[in-house]
Amino acid sequence: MRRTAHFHIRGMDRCPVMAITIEPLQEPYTVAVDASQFAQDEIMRICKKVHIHPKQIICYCNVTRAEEVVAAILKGAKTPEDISLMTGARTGCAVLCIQSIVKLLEASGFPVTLGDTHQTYGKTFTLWDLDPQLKKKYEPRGFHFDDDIKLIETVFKSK
Amino acid sequence: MGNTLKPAAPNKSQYCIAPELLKMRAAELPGMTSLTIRELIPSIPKPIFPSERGIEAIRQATRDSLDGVDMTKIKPGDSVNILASHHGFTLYGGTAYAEMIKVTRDVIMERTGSKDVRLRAGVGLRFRETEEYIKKFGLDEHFEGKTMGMTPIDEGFPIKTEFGTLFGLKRAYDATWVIHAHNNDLRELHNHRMLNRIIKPFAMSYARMETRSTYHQNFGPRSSNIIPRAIFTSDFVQSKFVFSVMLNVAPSGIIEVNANNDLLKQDDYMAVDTLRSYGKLLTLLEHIDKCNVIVDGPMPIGYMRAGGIVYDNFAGLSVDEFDLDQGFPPFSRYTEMYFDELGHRLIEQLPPLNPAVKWMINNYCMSGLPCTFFSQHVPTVVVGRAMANHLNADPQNPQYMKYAVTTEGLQEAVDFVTRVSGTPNILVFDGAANGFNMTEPLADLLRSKGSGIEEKVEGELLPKWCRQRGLSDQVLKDKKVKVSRQ
Repeated sequence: MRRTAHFHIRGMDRCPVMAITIEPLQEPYTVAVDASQFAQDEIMRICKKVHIHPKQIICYCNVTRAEEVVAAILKGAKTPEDISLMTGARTGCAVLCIQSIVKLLEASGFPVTLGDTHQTYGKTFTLWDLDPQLKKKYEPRGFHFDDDIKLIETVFKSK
Repeated sequence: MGNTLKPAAPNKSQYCIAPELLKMRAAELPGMTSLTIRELIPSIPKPIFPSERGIEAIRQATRDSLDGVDMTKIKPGDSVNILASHHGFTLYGGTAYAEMIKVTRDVIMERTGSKDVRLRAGVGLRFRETEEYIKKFGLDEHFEGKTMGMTPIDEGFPIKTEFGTLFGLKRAYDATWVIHAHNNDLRELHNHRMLNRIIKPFAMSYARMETRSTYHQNFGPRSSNIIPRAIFTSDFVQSKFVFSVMLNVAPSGIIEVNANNDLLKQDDYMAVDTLRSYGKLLTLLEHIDKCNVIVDGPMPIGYMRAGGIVYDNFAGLSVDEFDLDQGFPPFSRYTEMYFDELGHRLIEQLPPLNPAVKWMINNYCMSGLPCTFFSQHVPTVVVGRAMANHLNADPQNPQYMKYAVTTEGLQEAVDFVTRVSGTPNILVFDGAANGFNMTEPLADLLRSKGSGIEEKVEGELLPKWCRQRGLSDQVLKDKKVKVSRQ
């Protein structure tokens, strides 16, 4: 997927003294990593480790898919910021896709913890990590943990 | 706007086009009429707000409700954070939510002697939105400057829950005690699925991006709302929590203010009201077989309100989203993620968006929420160059306009979609309170479909929805008595 970056964003939306503004570029530029240039079975192997399908959309804002995030990692990305610069993912809302990016980095051998170069606290637990006793405790109140796992994993049967 | 309900006023906001650029509202179109909620479903309770009593009704209801709450934990030297969310400020103009918060602050100070009561208000993905509301509703003056907006990228800290570690916002919990000020408006049914609906802000408004992200990407369509429950029941939050104060909302308006020291019990109590009233309305709206939709208000597309529901609720009507046997909803982040580059489903079980919606006209909306899915899946007309440019400049929707066409004016857009869709039915989401603006033929259709809804929901669907959530027969019975008194 090719996409066009129009602006740099969230800093201006949070700066307490409104010191950052958005300036449109004269010429839009495109950021993307071509996933087809990388071994598809390696992309699938990394994605599957964290229950994410390669074609799955990770960044809803820029419509960036998991395969492209993994391709960026295979091309040298080691942090969430590298991923953003190479693919455009997480340059919109900056929020919704962080965990999938963190998990794909970790599955590729680059665990993310809070450090000096970025502001990501690290990974949280997922649906696949829940204690079976806790699942039993909450299922009578309507939560469908195992059913959701089954439902989501059908994606790996898709053609 | 003779026979139509007043749409929500345009907002002066960085997330909207300037109000003067909005040339015409859908409610002004020829052939438009309106239906109120109680015309459609007479058993839905009459609201205390909006009503002839004005904001005084909320003021009094908040004081009355807080009378039943234990505040003895709070000592004169203690600090208190009232935790709020942007969403409340979008309900019925926002004044009711703001007033509930102001009165709560005053009552806490009067009863406990605390002089340090602050407002900490969270947001979704529009980081300045709550700060705009704090100014708009005079909350900064009322709290003597002790107000603050919070965003998911602000400093966080780990919270140990029974499931593992999640991340909260430091600012939310930087007081001795916290109060949860929220509402039970249906809104994101596709996300919360009415599983601990009123607890959701603990994972959203008061939490870091890591927590919000795992909610939307690493759980599933019937399991993600365990995350706010995990945070709320953590030892840390329990050591801070004193009570919650809620607007009890029905499609007709605000029907009650409800305060309680036990949020989980309160959630059960309010869930029955929500399932009952919104369940009836959505069951009726399922009868619309063909229509075009106009979004026309100061909210993001999916959150655009009318008749007490948001557009997302209407878009989800190809299935019963209350029914927990139904896995994926037609729209949620879990649905959106499973479409390939050609728009094909990666998972067969993904249901389509409400097939009744033939075209969407986007006359006016807020930016700041990823909405490209809608223009990809529903033929879309955007009215006016200003609105198109605004969406095109939105970092959360850089591709939205790739899938939309534009017209110069609203009337041209309506003429076009009416001709190509072959239906005169138009339903408007414009923030109107207590009902919908729509075209006459659609109003006629809805008037004709009312019979049997009451019996179907009360006799069949509501007991099923409650059973699926472990809501006891006793809760249902108690609520039935209460509702019938109104």
